Amino acid sequence: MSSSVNDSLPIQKIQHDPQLGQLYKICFVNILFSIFTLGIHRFWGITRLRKYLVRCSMLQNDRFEYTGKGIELFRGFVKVMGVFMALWGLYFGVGYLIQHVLNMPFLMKIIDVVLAIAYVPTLFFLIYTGAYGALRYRLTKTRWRGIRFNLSGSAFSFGLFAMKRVFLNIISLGILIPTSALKKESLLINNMSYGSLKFSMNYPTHHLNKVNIVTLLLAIPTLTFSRIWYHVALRKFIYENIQLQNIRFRFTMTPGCQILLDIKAFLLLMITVGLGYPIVLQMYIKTFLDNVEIIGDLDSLKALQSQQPELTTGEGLEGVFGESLI
Amino acid sequence: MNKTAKFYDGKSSISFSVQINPDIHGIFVKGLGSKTSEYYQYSDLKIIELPVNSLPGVIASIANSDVRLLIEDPSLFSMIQSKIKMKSSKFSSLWISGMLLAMTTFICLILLYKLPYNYSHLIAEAIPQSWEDKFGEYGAKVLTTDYVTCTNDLGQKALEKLVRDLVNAGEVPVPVTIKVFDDDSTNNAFAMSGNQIFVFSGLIKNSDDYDELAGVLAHEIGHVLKRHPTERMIHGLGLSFLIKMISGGIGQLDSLLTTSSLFLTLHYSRAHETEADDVAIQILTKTGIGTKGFLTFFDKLEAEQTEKLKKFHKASKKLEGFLSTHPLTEDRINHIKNQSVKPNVPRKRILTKVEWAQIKAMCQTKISS
Repeated sequence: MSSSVNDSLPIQKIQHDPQLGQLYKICFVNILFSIFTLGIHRFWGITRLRKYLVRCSMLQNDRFEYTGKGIELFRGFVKVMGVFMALWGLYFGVGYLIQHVLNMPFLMKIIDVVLAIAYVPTLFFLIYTGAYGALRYRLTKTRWRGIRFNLSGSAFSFGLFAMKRVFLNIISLGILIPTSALKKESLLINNMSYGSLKFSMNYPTHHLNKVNIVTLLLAIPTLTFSRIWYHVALRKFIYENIQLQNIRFRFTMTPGCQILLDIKAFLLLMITVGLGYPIVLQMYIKTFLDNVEIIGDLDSLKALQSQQPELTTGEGLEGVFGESLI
Repeated sequence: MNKTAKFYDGKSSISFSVQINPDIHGIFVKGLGSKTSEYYQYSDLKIIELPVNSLPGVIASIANSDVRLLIEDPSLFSMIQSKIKMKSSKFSSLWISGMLLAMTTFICLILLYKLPYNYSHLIAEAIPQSWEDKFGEYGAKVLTTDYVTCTNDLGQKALEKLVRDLVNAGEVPVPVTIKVFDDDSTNNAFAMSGNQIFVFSGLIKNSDDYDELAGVLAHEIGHVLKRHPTERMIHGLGLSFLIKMISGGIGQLDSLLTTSSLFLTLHYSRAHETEADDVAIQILTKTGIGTKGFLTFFDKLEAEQTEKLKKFHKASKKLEGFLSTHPLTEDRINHIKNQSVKPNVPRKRILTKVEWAQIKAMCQTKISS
């Protein structure tokens, strides 16, 4: 917890200094090439953007480095698409066989019902599994001081766990949302490492139930703006409980700051008809990094290189279900 | 020439401040903790990042991909850079560009010439009838909340008799249902998934005899027979998936592509209309109704459209042909005239005058949702 953090320890922040012109150039070229190549270029475009944004982030005069390649994202996407196509093919093939060859429409109805029931949980499972795999890929491709980050553990187990928590959240009418979020985050963070050093997140209890329930009740009258209070409180709690050896973290963002940022971003996108996207992107990253404090002596971290090899295929599932830029 | 740089050996996070001394074949790196120096040949080095403004240039070892050398001095970096072979990266970018170009051409060709017609047709064929019925059931449910359905028993029976004859002539393998919506201002009909045809009362009102209505119904049966409603739904889903893939979540690009895809959809829709017209001609010929009534319907439609377009320039008609979901009425009339053959069965009345009158009076009894 933050109370245990010694105030005499040095506090560092990740500096972020991208040039807006360069960011616009990258985004513009990416959009242009994506149009000409019917979207295939986007894997290379996203990589280029990530490389630049990560490279512009610096901690204690040492820049972060992103070593991902467009072809790796493309390969991941093709693999997952192949699996999906095969499943669709199988589905239609079986459907045709049952309907037209075996002439057993009742069996098709049973299959339809089973699939309809399984659809939503499967979707949640795939989304979370994909997000975990994508995060693993991005971490193994990110270095600081020559050392790779990593994420161990099974993406499928995480997907299954997260899916269960989603249903518990629904059944509990949202009361269990903070517990689920913290359990998911701690599972994720406890599997994360910087080279040979493992991150950890342990908390005996949490105080987020009240803010969760109040903001949930106010969500409709405030057009969901109230939830910003919960999300900021959650993030603060998470950061205050993360540890990397003797290094602690703190999240200093306030709900007011977050609301102001969201409104500014919304207005900017509206006024510029979307052309202000690079500015908004820069605004969000900079504000986020300005509010993350890293407490402790970073030079005392003696991380050895991660034993896990870099992934050469990445983000297949996340590439299908949506794209996060960083 | 000794210069300072920052060095990471890739084994630990410890940074070494090193002296580098380049020669003809490579660079000496001195000051690596316990090691006195290390030598890296230029052929073993690759550029990771070029120096930009205050950012140092980054060089990595090919043999040990974790090693990083960070050089802040731009002149030193460009000197080393000139010695490091850039051939492989140039080749790689050339290869990627070529591959992208080839794939783009391939996809464009498929997309523009083959795919829109074939893939949705193949998928529509594979969709089980029970699914199609469910789509149709849902669509009909939505429609019946928006429109009042005409339910005159005698009129409905006469209409079903006409549809039955047309369906038999078209050898449609599934039963076709028909409903009339009370809307005198709409002179049209449409087909929906689940072998359903919906007729607006305006079409019945504007038809002087049943053969005009039969022409439009035969056209809609053509859509049913070719499974066009389901095919169009799949085509739309396929296009939106393709758009999502291309735009990658970038909102503006998404909107731009959605608008562009509209033209592809319109072209696709016009192809379906022509196909349904061809089926209608066959059905009308086979039943002995003939295409005269069908042509009369189009003549009336043409007159109606001409009246509406009178105030616009003639050029707008060309644009209409390009932007419309249906081919130009004038073109359709010519097409029907060209395709029509003399009926091999004598022209006969399928409906009696009384039955036609019953259809005409259909909307005197209605149910509202």
